[in-house]
Amino acid sequence: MSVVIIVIMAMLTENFVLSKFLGICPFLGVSRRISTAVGMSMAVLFVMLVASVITYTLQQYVLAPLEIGYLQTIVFILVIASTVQLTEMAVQKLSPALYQALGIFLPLITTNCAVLGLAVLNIQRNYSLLEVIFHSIGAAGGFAIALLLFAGIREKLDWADVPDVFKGAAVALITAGILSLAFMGFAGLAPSN
Amino acid sequence: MEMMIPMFVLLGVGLVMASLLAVGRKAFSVEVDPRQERINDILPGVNCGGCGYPGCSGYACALVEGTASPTDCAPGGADLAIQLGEIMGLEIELTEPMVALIACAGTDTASPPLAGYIGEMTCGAAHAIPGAGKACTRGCLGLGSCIEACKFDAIVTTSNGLVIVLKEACIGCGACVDACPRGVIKMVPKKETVHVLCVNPDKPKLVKAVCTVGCTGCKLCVKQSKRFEIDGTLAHVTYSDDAEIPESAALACPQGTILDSRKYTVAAWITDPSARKDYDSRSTVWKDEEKKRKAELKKARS
Repeated sequence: MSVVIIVIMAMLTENFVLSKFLGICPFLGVSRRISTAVGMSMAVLFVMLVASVITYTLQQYVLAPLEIGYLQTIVFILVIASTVQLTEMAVQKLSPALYQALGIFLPLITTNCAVLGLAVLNIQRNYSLLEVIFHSIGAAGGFAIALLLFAGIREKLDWADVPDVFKGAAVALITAGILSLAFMGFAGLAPSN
Repeated sequence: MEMMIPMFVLLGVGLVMASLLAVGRKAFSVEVDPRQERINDILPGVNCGGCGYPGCSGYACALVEGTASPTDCAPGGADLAIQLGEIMGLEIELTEPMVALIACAGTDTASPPLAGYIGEMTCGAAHAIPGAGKACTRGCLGLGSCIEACKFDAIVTTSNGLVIVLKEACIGCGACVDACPRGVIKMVPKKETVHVLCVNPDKPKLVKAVCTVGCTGCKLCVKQSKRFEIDGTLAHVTYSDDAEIPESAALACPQGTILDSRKYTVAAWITDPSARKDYDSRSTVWKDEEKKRKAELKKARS
């Protein structure tokens, strides 16, 4: 499968947030303002890339040869968590400005299911390293699209005349549902295998 | 042996990651001033933003860098300022605790609305539309944008189209001052009891046309106490000295603009008609006596 198709599919038809329902927590948590949504998306892109490359190599050269695939989840979590921590330290040292911008989002991604889901999917689909990299970029792009769309809608919702009972989380969840329905429409784009 | 492999793998991965983190900690260590952490611990943590920095941790950072003053934290008050001063090794000059004051008494009856307003229920939106709200275009709109801004539930609406500050709940962060599109809210020393409840700088005629309790700048209060000053056609209390303001200052006001909270609470003054009635009768009595006194003085001189 060409990498272009992988990227487009990961962004639209298999959108992590709106089709696979992974990473719902930051989707609802940091979508109040577009500026924070952008910060979160950048952080996710970075972590997804680093984490999936590391987990992929670990799977290929340690877990698979030793036939201990059942350790996948715990090892991946371990790796992702410490990678994020390490990244955070490095960013804090090397670029305080970026550290300020990402703020709380970096540590939040540590336990983000979208990152683990991506790492596991990469293995399940027997991707090559190049495909893994592009799949990560696509997945993070999809996350960013969903988050930015939703943040844009929520900024408008702040000014909308919402009935009292729906104010806040309720209308946000309904909006997320409708957005998800819309993304289901992309299913027709997927090439039949 | 077979079952030892996963254990070793897990252990190995854990060890590698742990040592990487340990090395990273050393390699990427950023010197954080230990005082910053101690300051963070004793700050109130309400993130009100009253100090002008992003949250309490931002303030702690600015303190350590020396750009902020230990007295900038309004919620913490004097106790916290002293503690912060100790950590920073600074002498503290305590500032007067401040509270917010809604300097407007223009209720729906005192300054009746020109037309019904059914737009966006925020002061900013109403202020942008000419003719929305009360007749007075300078005073409180009563839609409560300051209530939204207040993190301490210290501002409440009254039944007659105004908002009032609950003095005991107000910590003086000043967030409401920025929220008010008309600049009606002022920060005043907490101990002060006498306030001019008007911010309308217009000419006396215009003020009288739109509100029954607006300040016309007649200077009668200035004659009673040096603490009053007239700025154009608007009186205000000065806070540079501590002299007691006599009750006569409020009684002398022909418009009843001056609130004497030794006599009436803000809530009673704004909402309770009997407080106004009581004030009016006392004011009349005082003015009569003043007239008599002046007449006697004249007689004695001639």
